[in-house]
Amino acid sequence: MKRRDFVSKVLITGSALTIGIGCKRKIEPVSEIKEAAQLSLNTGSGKTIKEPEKQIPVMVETDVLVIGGGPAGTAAAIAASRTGAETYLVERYNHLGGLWTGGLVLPLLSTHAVDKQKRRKQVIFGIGGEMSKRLVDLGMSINEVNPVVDPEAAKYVLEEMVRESGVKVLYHTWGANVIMDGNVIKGLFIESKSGRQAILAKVVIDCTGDGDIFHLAGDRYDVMNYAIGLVHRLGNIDRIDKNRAGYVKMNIGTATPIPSVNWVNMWGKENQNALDVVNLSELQSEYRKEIWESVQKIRKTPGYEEVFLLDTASQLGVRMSRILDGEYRLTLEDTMTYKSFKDVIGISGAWTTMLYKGKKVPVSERPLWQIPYRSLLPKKTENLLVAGRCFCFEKELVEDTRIIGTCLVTGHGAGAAAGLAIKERETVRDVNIGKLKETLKQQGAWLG
Amino acid sequence: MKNVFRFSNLRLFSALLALILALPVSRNGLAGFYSWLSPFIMLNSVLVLKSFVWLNIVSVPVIIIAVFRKRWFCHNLCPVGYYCDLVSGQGTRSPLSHRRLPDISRLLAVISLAAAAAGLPIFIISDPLAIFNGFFSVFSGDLKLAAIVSLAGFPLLLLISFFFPGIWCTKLCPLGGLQLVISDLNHQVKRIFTNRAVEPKSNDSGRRYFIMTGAGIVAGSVIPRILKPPACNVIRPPASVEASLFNSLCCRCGSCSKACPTGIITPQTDFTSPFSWMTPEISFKSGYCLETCSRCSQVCPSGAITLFDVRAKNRLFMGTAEADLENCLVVNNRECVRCVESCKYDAIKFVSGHSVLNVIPVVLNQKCVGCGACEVVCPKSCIVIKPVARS
Repeated sequence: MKRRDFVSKVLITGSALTIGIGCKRKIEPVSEIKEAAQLSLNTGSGKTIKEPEKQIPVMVETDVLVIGGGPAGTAAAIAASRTGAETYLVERYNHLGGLWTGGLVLPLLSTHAVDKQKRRKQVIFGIGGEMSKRLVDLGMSINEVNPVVDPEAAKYVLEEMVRESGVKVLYHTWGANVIMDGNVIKGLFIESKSGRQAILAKVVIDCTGDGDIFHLAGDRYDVMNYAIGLVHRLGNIDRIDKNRAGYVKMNIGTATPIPSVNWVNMWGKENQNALDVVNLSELQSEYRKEIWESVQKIRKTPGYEEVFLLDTASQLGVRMSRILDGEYRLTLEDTMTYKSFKDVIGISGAWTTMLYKGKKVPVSERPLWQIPYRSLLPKKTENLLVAGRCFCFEKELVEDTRIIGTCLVTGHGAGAAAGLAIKERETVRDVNIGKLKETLKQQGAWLG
Repeated sequence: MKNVFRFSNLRLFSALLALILALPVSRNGLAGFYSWLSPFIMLNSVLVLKSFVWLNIVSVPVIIIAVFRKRWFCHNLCPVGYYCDLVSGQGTRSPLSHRRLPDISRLLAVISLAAAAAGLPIFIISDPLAIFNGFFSVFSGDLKLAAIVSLAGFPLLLLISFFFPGIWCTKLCPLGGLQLVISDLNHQVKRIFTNRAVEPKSNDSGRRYFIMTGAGIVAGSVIPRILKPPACNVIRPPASVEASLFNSLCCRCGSCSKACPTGIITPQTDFTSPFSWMTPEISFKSGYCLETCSRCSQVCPSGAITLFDVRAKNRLFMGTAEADLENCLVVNNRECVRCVESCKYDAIKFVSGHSVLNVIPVVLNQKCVGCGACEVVCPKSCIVIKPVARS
């Protein structure tokens, strides 16, 4: 054999071998051991006791009963009352506005968004817009986009509007249980200084934020744990002396319509159960201590001596708890694609950057989005509507649905629908959508 | 005559199909599919990585056909050949005689493959299908001028063909060279293993191959040792091979940029690192690396991006998030949780500092793969993904 042939043979066999030892190439997932599911917290002792049956006095029979006097509840009550329905509003604290006022969550977010012509404009009108307008007229609102309001002014304005529209408000009252006839809600047991009473109503609107009413009525829902905070306000901000020796920049929150007052947001502890009263009480006590200590620290810093703790919010900043499983679940895609609904009851805007299909959508480009009436309708219970942060949406949307602006919009929609149902003598499920939209437009709402 | 008609039809069809697949009109898994047909890229990739993906099989028929019919691929399927011939026909200048030009195509093919076996696929970027596909990523969006100029390989080939008709296909193209080599090898094998007296065309072809192979192996093992390119500081697509190999293995076909659904893969044009010129780099301007996507790895014909399963993505580290908290909203007691919410790997946690009022986002480096969701979504642009140092 020639030398050349030998070398060739070696080379050919060698290269064949080199390819031959190749193997399939792919990075495969590693099977991971899943962490054991956390046991559900049981705060009770496990013991139960039977409540004796008793006859409850019926306080009143009304057309519309709204539970919860937050932004959604107030808007709903005003809207229902303006259609001519007799409306009762049950509120557990001594003021209207809920987290917006008592919770000191002062910014009215998502007032603006981008329309199909790519112009950023105001989208929240209607009763919410009216409230905002009145606050501007009082000089108690700053910033045109996502305005920040003064809480006491807002309480006053909401109270005025409720009074003008003829809503009957029951303060210091808790909606304790539902009165059901099969799947139909007939009214509510309320609990107050007057003891337990009943209010019978043709339509009930759940504006509790936590969805207490649809929970009691036996509808399906999801529970979402979220961070819970407690907002506080600082006074004498205008007396901070930046020229003092030893002055350093401190976290003193952001401006409110009153120049000497700032509000300080708190993110708080993550993953909190807002439906556990022991947890809420513990958080409340811990947060109050933390806020006090934080303000003392600020006061000891040179230049900040005159700053003081004006107030802490009268209710915990519960961001999310129950989410209704309603007739239609609003999705992130709906809000990003100008999805138009036949049964639109309101339009809300955007206030923060979002990701959609892996791409960035900054606030300046976020589309306005419609809210369908079906998202306020529970699947099971009749004569019940849900408004506020617990209406039916997917969790990806939570940043835009849990805020004051959207609550005002859903509240207005639910209130108008309830009023119309009373007027037309039909159930809220069968409300004529055309007429509902007409009513909303008459009340100043903008439906695109 | 009938035959010719049919073949020319196939050629036109193939050229149009290649054009459609190369254009970034539909960002799907078929982007730059023609690169898979090139046995030159396939052999380089397989020899370097000593492993294959199933899609590599696509180019095996091309090799088998080349054994029996020399340059069948060039005459019937190659889009570059088709468009070059189109242009040559338009040329008004009489074609220069380049008969005397030595055959560079065989040289490129053999040296590249031999060097690839030693770890450096030296001429992989001169593959015609890679050049063809690479050019069409010019249309994929906002590219820098430097990138557009660098991607102009295909127009350059057309220009060469206009002035020197046929020179690319017959004398320079390594893919054509490879087919010639395969057919030569067939002769050689027949001669050796059947002991049949098949006269080779030239007596010294065996020696020439021996020298070329040797040169390739020497080049493949020596060059990386002499030229130690500085580790370039860019974010690579997930499951990329290590930096030094990436620069030589990547054939710059631009398929990953075209396939990326969020359009974050762009060609790198940093003058300070010439070895990584035009390699894919990730910049999180418009979007982030989707947790449900592995397209760049599916379309990569050279294996520079290793094929991976999307469920393995939590182990494919591209970079790590670094936060500058000065302007962070939540640190300044404003309402924001975008980074934590957008993280699909639970790699960002809000941690209480000295009090509950003082919450700080903290990145868990073991979990953060650098997908960029937090960087993209942060309203105050506080978070930046830093590339990880690969070993």
